[in-house]
Amino acid sequence: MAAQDERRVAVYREAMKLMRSAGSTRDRYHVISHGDRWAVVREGAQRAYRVFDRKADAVARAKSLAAAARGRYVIVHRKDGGVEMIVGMSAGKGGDIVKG
Amino acid sequence: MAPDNLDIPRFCGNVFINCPFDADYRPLLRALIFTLVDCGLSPRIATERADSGESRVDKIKELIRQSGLSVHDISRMEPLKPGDLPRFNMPFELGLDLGCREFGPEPLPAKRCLILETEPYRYQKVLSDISGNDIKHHRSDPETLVRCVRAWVVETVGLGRYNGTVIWRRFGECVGILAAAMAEAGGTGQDVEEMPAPEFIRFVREWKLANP
Repeated sequence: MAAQDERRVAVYREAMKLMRSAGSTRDRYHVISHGDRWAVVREGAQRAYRVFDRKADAVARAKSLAAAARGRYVIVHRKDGGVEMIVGMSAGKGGDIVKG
Repeated sequence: MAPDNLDIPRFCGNVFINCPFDADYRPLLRALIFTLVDCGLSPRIATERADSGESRVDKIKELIRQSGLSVHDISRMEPLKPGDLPRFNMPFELGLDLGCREFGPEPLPAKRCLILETEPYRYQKVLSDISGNDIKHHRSDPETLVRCVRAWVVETVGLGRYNGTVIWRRFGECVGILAAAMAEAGGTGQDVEEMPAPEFIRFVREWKLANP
């Protein structure tokens, strides 16, 4: 197996272990599309906290909510549902996904 | 009489996915996989087995035979590059699936399929034979695809604990946790984006167990 593939397999396995141990937390916030608008959703909640016309406004509100929840982070999604960035995760690991 | 080696309970929950595997389609494929798992079904995909000694078409036929449900996305039949021939794999596999339903022994006539397209009536120009089948249009938008697939699952098998909006948000939570876990594990954005479909299916199943 090529070195890059081996590295990637190792990352996937480690990520799976971390996911199993992390569980769910209600202190993560997501900014995710809602039709043509953007919803701020607390993880685990079925209803959005609020829906915004502009993504920037949704991100700003999500950041303030996460800050009030002490130390958790905001996951900002692209329109296709993928992750654009994770804001507020602790530094160190994180590659190019995590923003300060 | 059922064919030998056919596990009937699993047959009812297996969903054969027939779709493009290029990078452009990946967001739609992930949304499709997640929606099926979140509705309690089991996605089956040609890349789940990497045995290079087995022909692809034999793998496809076996998956079709084992799956009581199927989703065929024929929205990407156009050539990848100008001047290339159209991609015929998706309509070919749709034909195999419909043939299996029509001519196969029990329980194969009970198979049900969903056909996905981008826009209404576009397929009629090139594949009018399938008029009358269940065709839904996702407009190349994963959020819309989630709603289409969820609606079909409810209509076809009666499953559907969550509505389309909630499934879409749960999808966001799941991929968010994936990205966060990958970042913790030292992965990059490219690792997240290029996670193979079988790995993604395993991840979503794990997430679903923890988030029923």
